[in-house]
Amino acid sequence: MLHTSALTFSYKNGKTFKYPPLFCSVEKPLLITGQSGSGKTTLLHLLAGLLKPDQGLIKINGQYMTSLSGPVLDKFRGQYISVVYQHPHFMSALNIRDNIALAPYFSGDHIPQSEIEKLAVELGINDQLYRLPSSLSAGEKQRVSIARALISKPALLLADEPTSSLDDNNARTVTELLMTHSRQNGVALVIVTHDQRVKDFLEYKEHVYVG
Amino acid sequence: MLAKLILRNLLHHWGSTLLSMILLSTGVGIISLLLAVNKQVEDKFNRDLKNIDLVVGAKGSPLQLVLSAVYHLDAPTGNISKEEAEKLLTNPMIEQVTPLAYGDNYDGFRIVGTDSTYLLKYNSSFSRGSMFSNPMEVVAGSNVAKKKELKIGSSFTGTHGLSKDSDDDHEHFKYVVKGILNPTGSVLDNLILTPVESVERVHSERHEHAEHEQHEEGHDEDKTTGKQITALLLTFRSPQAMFSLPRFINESTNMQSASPTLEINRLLGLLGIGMDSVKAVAATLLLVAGLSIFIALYSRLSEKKYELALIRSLGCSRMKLFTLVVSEAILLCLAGFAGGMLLGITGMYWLNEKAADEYSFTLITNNLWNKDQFLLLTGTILIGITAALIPSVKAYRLNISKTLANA
Repeated sequence: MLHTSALTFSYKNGKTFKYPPLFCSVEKPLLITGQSGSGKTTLLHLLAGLLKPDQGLIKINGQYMTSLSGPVLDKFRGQYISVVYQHPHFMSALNIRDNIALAPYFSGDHIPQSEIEKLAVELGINDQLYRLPSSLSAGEKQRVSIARALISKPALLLADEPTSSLDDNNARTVTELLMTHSRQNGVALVIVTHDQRVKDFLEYKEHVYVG
Repeated sequence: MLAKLILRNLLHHWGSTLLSMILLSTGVGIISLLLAVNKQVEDKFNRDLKNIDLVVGAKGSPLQLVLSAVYHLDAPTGNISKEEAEKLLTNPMIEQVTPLAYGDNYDGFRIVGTDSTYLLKYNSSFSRGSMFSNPMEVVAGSNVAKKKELKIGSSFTGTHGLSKDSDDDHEHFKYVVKGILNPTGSVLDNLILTPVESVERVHSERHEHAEHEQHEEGHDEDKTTGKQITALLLTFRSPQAMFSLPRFINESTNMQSASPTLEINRLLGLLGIGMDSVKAVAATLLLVAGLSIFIALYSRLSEKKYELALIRSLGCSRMKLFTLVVSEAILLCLAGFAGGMLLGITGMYWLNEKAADEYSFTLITNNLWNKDQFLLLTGTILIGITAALIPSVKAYRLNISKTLANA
């Protein structure tokens, strides 16, 4: 569950962004669209706790994230927030299984190994678990990053342009996977994108346009 | 998990890891080898000096005299007359005189004519058998006995000269092993001891033989055939003898005296310059290794920026990330140090294999862990930390949002 008041953020070069209040629950995914340069990624980083808003409050799972900082914020981020990026990043030296296991390791959650396998089967990447990230296709990588995002059972899943580098088929699959699995796992889903296709793939959404 | 991550990172970038490790290991290996050789040579030199205040021998280089008579490393400066040498026995300032007569070897091991005082100097004891009592009986040092598989009652013939390459056998004279010594860690281990009379007997025969041949060839040289020995080892009654006795010997006899302590310190001083320059080379190697770790970590940092930002976003704190980068360097340094120690020990075995016989000196390969090694380890780790400092601070200060936004 995500709740924010009107947020503002300005960069050092003077560029200022203002956002409307946002609300997102497990039942209704939030879709944020807008032109490039409209501050979509900035908003996502604010919601992810990677940036601190100049004004406004962010409440996740009943906790005001805006009042946290330092290692406490790092820990909070690890426990309650997961992000799926346009270009998923992995630790190139670790295999897929260990990459997924990194998320609960850093958030301090104890997840049984069987959970990783269960999730991998659900996302159709169980054959890729012992491969290195570099050997995976773009679609496979995005599934792995969804697995990593969901493994530590966050309260909020943020997706930053998750479909932009995928073809229609993969874009639809990834959107549906995000939707169904966040709902199944009781995770509030926020998708930030300029990709018009997502709007059609996503059912029962709240839509906010920024910029 | 953190350990796995560090290890996997190092193995994943095995090229730069290997390069850093080779540089580190070479530097550490050379330095540890040098430290051990330096220390052990000094120890060995000092051990052999025990209870010898002054060496007396034929005129020539004092250093050569010391090297030859105390350490049995060099050829003697010549012979001295036994008669003249015996005059010193009555000198009140001298407590003990040990005669040495040598010139033969058994397969590279020197046969030294002496008496029981020589054994007392090194606190040696018999592992088997007993002291010689008649000419042509010998007592073998522990290493000689081991290498030549000598037992009580074994016999062998000596060869003229001091190296094993000479082929001038004294075929008529057979030495018989009477006793075998326990290891002393001194020069004694590589010597074969016999009464002075044995050496005299072998050589007077040789002289006659040689003169006989020379006469046949028409030469008419008359050699002095008075009894000779090679050198004397003296111990003083009081340290004051050091001021008067050397001058007395050098000025009023046909012999020269040399203080082994003085000569060896001079020699070690000279060697020290060489040691220092090799040490400088090894230290440079270590610095280059540090630099290579720095470059590896630094260049990897820019390509790994996203990975680092990623684990930060997964909940990894700044401090943990900092630790991650520093630990990688420290682990690399520890591995390099271990490799270096291994290299150093291998080097010592190799040196022992190659040079032990030639220099009658064996490096001790155990008990290498001393203060110097500890300093070396500390130094190596410091190099690692220094090399990792800038990259890890950069990792610490990484702007996650900016890094991920620019991906």
